[in-house]
Amino acid sequence: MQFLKEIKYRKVNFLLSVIGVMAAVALMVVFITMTRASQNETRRLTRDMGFNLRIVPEETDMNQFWIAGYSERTMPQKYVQKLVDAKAIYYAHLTATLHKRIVWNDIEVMLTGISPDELEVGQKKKSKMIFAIAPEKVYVGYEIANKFKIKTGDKIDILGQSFEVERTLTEAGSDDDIRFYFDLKKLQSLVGMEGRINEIMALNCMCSTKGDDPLAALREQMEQILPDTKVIMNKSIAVSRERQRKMVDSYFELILPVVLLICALWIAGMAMLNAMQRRHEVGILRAIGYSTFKVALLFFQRAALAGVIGACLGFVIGNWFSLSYGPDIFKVTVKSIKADYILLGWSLLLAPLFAIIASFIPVMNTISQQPAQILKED
Amino acid sequence: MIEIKGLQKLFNSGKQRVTALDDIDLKIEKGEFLLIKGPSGCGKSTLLFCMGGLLKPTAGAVRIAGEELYSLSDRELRKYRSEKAGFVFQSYYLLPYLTVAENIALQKKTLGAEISSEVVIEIAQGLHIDHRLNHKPGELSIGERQRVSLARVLMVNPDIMLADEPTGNLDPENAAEVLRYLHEYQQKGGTVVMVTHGAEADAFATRQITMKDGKIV
Repeated sequence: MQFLKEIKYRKVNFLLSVIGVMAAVALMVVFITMTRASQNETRRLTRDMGFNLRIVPEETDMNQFWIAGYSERTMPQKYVQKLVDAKAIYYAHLTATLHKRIVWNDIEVMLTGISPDELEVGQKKKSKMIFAIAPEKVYVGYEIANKFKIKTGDKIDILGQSFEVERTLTEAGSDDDIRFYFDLKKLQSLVGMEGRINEIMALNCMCSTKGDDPLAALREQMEQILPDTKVIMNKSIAVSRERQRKMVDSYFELILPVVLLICALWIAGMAMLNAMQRRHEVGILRAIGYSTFKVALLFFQRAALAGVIGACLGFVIGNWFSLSYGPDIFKVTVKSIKADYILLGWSLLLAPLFAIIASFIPVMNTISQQPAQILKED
Repeated sequence: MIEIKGLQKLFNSGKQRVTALDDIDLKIEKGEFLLIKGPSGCGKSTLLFCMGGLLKPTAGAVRIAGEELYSLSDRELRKYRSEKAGFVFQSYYLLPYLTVAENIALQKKTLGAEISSEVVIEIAQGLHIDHRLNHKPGELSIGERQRVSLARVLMVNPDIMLADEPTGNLDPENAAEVLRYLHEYQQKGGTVVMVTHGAEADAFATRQITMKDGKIV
């Protein structure tokens, strides 16, 4: 174990090499953990901007749709399941809804039934965007509650049936403020439209669409699955969502290679310093019959050990940093910030390799010289 | 034993080509103690390195026991350097992180042979460094360091000892001691080729040659 004796002798250089690897691994762990958290947070925050897709019956009169705020036409509720079964990749958080405008206590209000079963394409479980409402309860929009002084727990009559107010909503600044929210099934029976809906709300993640026109891709897919429907996209939400996510992704894609390059240069610098300090050692070892491979091995064993120690320390430090400061930055998805032990495995595999590659050129540059050339220097 | 014929070595120095060795012919018999003398830069060390398989000449041949040294494969050349030749340099070139005992065993280790601590001790005793076996080179005097580098060579008992100004850094007392060890080695049948400036080894030499501008004069 000649290389261990050398490490013991040149502790400072070895320590600096370990620091280089440790910094690379710690930064990688921090970046990967934070990137994931940032992506989750961005996904969650942009998701909270609301549904950006509305799937309505084909024959919907769009003038009426935009004036009324919903389609007067209806379609079967089972369309949602059809979309799920078709594994429509561009749609997430599929929610069946039924809207109906009525006059209640002399004002126009909107009744909206929401299916408690938010369906997802694929196996992946996602956190719910909607709230489930019990059949005998109702959520009341801000304007209605304010106008009629309705409070949580009050009993109100709608279309001849009594409902308990589960919640009064905060001001939304949209037509949600004049809306009553019901359980979908309850509203269907209340308005005599069992099994019918007039809209499927969905979220387009924009992650699978290629090209410049995601809406065209969505419509093309919908044409094949539910030909008697059409898709309307809220472009401002969809585009902001897409831009925000792309911005976060490209930020990390840019930063990580720069950080890794700086660490590689650091390690290479340390290896060069070590190789220069050991020029005469290389010369004499080669002069007394050591092969180039055997001499190189002395350097690469050292680099590999620096890689292993640096990987362990870097993993610990990277996680400590992420777990200490991540929750302050990513408040919504705080639970998703945790140590990923697969990263430790990758670090232990890649960091020694990284250290060996970084030291390869300076080491080989010294070793490939003729021993006489080195030994004549004195 | 060593036969050098038409040896030439050219170096590139900037745009110029420098002739370090110019058509050298030399024969060295087994058991000789040959001194190579001459001013700095005359090619003495270059000639020594060529004999040791450390520096490939531009032209000419170096034959050891009839075999052309530079037609050997890398592996054979390494074997020659670790088994048949031993080098002693002015700067000792000990590994600073190994103990004296480990430095002594270093060349022998390349042969894959088992290192006997008794042999290490015996050789160290012969060179009066046995009390220093567990020390690092940095803890030794200059003379002791040179004796360790001699011990490293004596461990493999090579056919030829190539010494490049081995007394250059030593005081007269230590220089005399090192020369005495080289002489002892030669007396036991070894061949010594020593490069030197001074006259301190003259008494031990069986032959001397002088070089100037890459030629033997």
